[in-house]
Amino acid sequence: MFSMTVGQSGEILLSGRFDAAQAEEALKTFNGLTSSAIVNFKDLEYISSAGLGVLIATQRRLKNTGQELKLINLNSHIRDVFRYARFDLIFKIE
Amino acid sequence: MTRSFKRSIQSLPSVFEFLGEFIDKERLSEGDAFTLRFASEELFTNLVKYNPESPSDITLSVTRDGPSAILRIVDQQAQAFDPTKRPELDLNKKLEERRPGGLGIHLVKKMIDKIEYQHVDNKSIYTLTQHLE
Repeated sequence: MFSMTVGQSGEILLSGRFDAAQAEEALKTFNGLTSSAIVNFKDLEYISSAGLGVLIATQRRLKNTGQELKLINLNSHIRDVFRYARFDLIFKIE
Repeated sequence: MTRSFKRSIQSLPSVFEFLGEFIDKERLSEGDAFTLRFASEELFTNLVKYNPESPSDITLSVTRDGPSAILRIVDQQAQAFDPTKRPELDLNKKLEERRPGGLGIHLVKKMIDKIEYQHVDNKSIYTLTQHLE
C-alpha cells in the first residue's frame, strides 16, 4: 500500500511502499507542486528507483524556478539507497 | 518457493506478497527484507520494460541456503541482458546532468552480495545471493 497526503502546512507525507506500480499516480500529485515543499518519509517503509525517479523529476522541475524539495525522516534503509544513488548531492535531507 | 507472474508492472503487489511469505517464514530482518524486495522489483520491472513482447510469465523463486537467501528470476524468450556487464554510472553529476536509466540496476549491484547471469536456450536466468544479517 502507498499513500500520499498533503497537510495544511503544505508538507507532503508519504506512507507505505513507493514502488513502480505507484509512480505514475504519485508523479501526477507531485506535478501539482509549484513551490518548495517538505516531503516527510516518516511512514514510508520502502522506495525503489521508480520512486526516486519521481522525486528527481520533481526536484529538477522545481529547481528551474528556484524552488526545491526537502526530505525528512528517512528510515535507515531508504537513507542507504539515497546514499548509494548519490541523491544526497541533489536533495537537502534531514 | 516458486511462482510465476504476468509481465506487467501491475503484478508488483503479487510479487511483494510472494516475497512477504518468504520473509515471514524465514523471519528476515527489515534490512534483508528491504534488499530482497528492492532487487526483485528492479529486475522484474526491467524485464517488463525491456522485454515487453515476450508472451511468457516471469518466474521468481526464493530459497534459504544456510546463511544466505537466493533469489532466482527466469525470463523466457529473452534476449541476453547481463546486468553484471553494465558500465558503472557516474553518480557525481549535478542534477541537470543526470539522465534516467540504469539507476535501479546500479543500486541492486551495490546492495546485493552476488549477482550471476546466464543466457541459456533463449532464457535469461538471474541468480542473486544475499548474505543475511
